[in-house]
Amino acid sequence: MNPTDIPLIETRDLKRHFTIRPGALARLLARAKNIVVSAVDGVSLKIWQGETVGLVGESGCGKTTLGRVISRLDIPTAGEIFFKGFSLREGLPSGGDKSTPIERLGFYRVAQVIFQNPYSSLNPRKTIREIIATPLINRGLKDLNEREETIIALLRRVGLHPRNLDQYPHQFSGGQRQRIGIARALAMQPQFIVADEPVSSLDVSIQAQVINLLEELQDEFHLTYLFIAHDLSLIHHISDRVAVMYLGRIAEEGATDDLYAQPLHPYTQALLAAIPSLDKAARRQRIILQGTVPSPINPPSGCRFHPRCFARVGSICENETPPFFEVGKQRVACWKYQ
Amino acid sequence: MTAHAPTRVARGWDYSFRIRLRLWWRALAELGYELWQRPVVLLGGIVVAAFILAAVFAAQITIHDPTRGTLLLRFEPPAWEAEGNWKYPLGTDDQGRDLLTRIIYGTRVSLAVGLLSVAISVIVGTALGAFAGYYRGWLDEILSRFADLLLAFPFLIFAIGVMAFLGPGFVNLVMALAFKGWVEFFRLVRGEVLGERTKEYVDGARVAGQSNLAIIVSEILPNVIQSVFVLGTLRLGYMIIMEASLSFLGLGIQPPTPAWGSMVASGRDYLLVAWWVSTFPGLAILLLVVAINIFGEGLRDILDPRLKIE
Repeated sequence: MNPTDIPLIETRDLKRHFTIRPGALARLLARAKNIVVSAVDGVSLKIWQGETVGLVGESGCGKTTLGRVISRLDIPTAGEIFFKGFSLREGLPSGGDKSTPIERLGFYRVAQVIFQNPYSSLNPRKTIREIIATPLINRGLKDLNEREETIIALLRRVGLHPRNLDQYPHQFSGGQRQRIGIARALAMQPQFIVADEPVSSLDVSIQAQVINLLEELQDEFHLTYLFIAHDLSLIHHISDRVAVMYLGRIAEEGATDDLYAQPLHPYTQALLAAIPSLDKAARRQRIILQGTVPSPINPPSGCRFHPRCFARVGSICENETPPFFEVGKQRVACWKYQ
Repeated sequence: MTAHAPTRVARGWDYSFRIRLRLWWRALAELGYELWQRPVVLLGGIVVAAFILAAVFAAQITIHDPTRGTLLLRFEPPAWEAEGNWKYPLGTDDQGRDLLTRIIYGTRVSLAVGLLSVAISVIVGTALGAFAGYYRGWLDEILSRFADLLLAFPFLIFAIGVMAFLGPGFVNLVMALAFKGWVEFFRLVRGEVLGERTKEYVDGARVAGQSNLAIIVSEILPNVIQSVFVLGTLRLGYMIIMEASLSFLGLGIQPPTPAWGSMVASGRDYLLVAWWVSTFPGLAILLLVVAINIFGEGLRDILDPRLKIE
């Protein structure tokens, strides 16, 4: 890990709002208005070269949407993403030459995605050869033999045998399919990979294999990961830094060991207390949160967590959005640390 | 890591093509086996194949002229009737032309009009449906409303109107049928693409650098084409009936070119004295359309995995 001055990926006040438009009739008769869902609502995050940032949060907190926006599968409503200091809004630096893959493919040339569900992320009508050849062709690998050798090397690298090259995805197990997905992502020779819950749909025994593979690949190809998961033990194992997300915003961020040793935000505390442990003495005190996650359609005012918080400091929690406070090396969005 | 067993390093498209051929062959063999399990469907397929062969080799398998007859031999009855003659197995029509010959030649018209109008409908409907379903927006809005508009017309009345406007003839007939026929395929493909476009493999292809066009054509369409194929077979029978109806009304293929619809119409006046003139072309329509429908529905049962599970 060699943190330079410029982060590999930086997001500034990134927002992604979804607008639900009611039908013409409902609009006319019931005077229905557009509903805005704030899936991601002002996320500023820095990801440094070579590190793994874990993104945790419960279902519906916007972590997948954030991953999609950062990997450019989705377009942000507001805010900006920077790659090595260059705003993605202006395009990557390549001199505007359409013939260079970086201009044609844009951000996908450097950032790839590993998808959550290996059963739906591979086209059922394409052979493994075709699936892995697609990014190779698109990044300009024209020579057939070279391409063929690259495909075989990639397949071997992720632990599959080249004899499976002409089979279809349904002939593979979930773990094998995820390996194919990883090979497809690697084929683009990316620097940055968004892994959106890459093992959550796999068996526990297979999970460990895929995680180990991802860690090996990181060392070998100097990859940077944004690792999205809801499994806290997994995040603890794989991440260098962790960002905790709640209702479209980052609640707390810090180095993994610091954050797990001393969670600052009340939400992080509650989340970590929920990790099951076999060791009775090591069990943290359980914190049981009241209520459920509020809807992102009408998020609570002020601090998003205040209706469920057990450590409120006063009316400021309800009225004003907390900025990030630096506590030690952690950043926490909670008025308690003002 | 364990050493991998030596494998043949596959090289280039030559190898890829052979693999593809093998996979096609395997799929075809599987289809053949499934057909063998369903004798009725197989029979339908054989009847359709027989009609196609008859249409292609019409000139080789007939001995009479389809358009010119001998007036002295008007209304010869079928061969098995008392005054029948095996030279004219199904008898002759009002102009002394051999009915069997004309029916065989008429197959050409029915199949050509049916296949062409379905082919145009498939191409237009699939292309527009795929774009509308993928891009949504105003394009989808306009096309869908236009499709709704066309669906509101009964097919036959619509086709009569178009034919009256364009005038009779082979090309106009195909155009009139395709002009409304594409709507079915548009709606099918649009719906299926709407369902496919949100699947993760589309995102996967996008991240792999595929353009929108490449995603539509090479990622989504292969997942949709099977249902198009099945609908195409089923619509073929319908198009053949439409062609026969229009020819019956005198708006389709013009005499003396033999077409089943106009043959039924020409025998209508003599139904009491020579029942065979109308009956046999009518039976030919019935046989071909029933065979196509049985075959098409059997194909749907075989190809549609949702039905296969049961």
